[in-house]
Amino acid sequence: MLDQTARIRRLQLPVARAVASPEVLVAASYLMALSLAELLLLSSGVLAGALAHGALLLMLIAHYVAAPGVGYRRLLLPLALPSLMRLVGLAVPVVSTPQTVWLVTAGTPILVAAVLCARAVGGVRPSMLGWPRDPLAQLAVAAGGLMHGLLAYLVLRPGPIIARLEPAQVALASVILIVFVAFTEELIFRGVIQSVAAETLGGPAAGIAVSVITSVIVYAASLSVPFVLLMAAVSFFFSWIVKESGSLWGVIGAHALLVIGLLIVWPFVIR
Amino acid sequence: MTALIPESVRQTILSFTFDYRSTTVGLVAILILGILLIAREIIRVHGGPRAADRLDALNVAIYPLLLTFIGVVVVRIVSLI
Repeated sequence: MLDQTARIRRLQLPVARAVASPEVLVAASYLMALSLAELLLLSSGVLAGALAHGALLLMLIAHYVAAPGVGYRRLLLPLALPSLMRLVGLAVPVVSTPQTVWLVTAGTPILVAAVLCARAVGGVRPSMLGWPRDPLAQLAVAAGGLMHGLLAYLVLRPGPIIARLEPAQVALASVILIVFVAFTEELIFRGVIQSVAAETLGGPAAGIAVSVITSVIVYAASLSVPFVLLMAAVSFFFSWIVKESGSLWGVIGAHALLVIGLLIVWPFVIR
Repeated sequence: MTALIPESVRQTILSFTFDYRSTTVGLVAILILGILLIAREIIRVHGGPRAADRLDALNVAIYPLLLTFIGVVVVRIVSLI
């Protein structure tokens, strides 16, 4: 009996050490702060939300600047991206309602931030955006986005972001969604956050966990539990694919087809 | 429905006028930009071996907020004219 207890303790010790490590505690604290900021935004309005996200953004950057020697430092900057994304999204200077204009005006600063962050922390390896090792597998992953988009539409039923299903409008809106939604979000969640979390928290599983949790927090603003659960599953699948393949192109393609289906095609096809 | 602008956030934004948003959320964004620019200048002046690395970190938020600031100011001026 004593022998068995000692064996269990020996097994539990590394897990307990990993969970209680400063890296994991700091990451968990900031993810909780991000959830609180989102909760404030949804419950108390835009000003409270903007202040909370702004404070979190400043805190993360100050922590990064002031703590040069700590092991988790590189993760602090990527964790600031969701707050920056929300702050820019709220302040977006749009007076008209076309959602494509919103996506460009909010998406451009966030794409710039994602690229600068990837450069600053060195999260995205060149191979992740280079020619993939197995292009056919990446194409298959991308094609799966059609199914994800259909499922997401059946769950959420959003309205279309274009007025009519005309080729010119579809093409323009698709390009905007590919660049400012699919590419930008995958660069942030799978490219920067997942890679840096895996390196700083001690393994690919931690990278996937942080990436999925961050995605779930930002998608929680949809206020639809089934949609958040679906996006959690999709995020987990995307993260696993990036971990296994080492390329972002497949999931960028899948994300692009997901949003094009969700916001352009399915709202006109299935009424 | 994207992570960038979720539907609930879009609806919240639409429930306020641009005038209100630019004097509340826009102001918060501009204040944060001001704080970051001051921090940038302090780090640049004091230098040190890690100054470049710290400036890179600040730039991650400064450039996007600068783009947002330009947008807010331009739309605000256009709406006043």
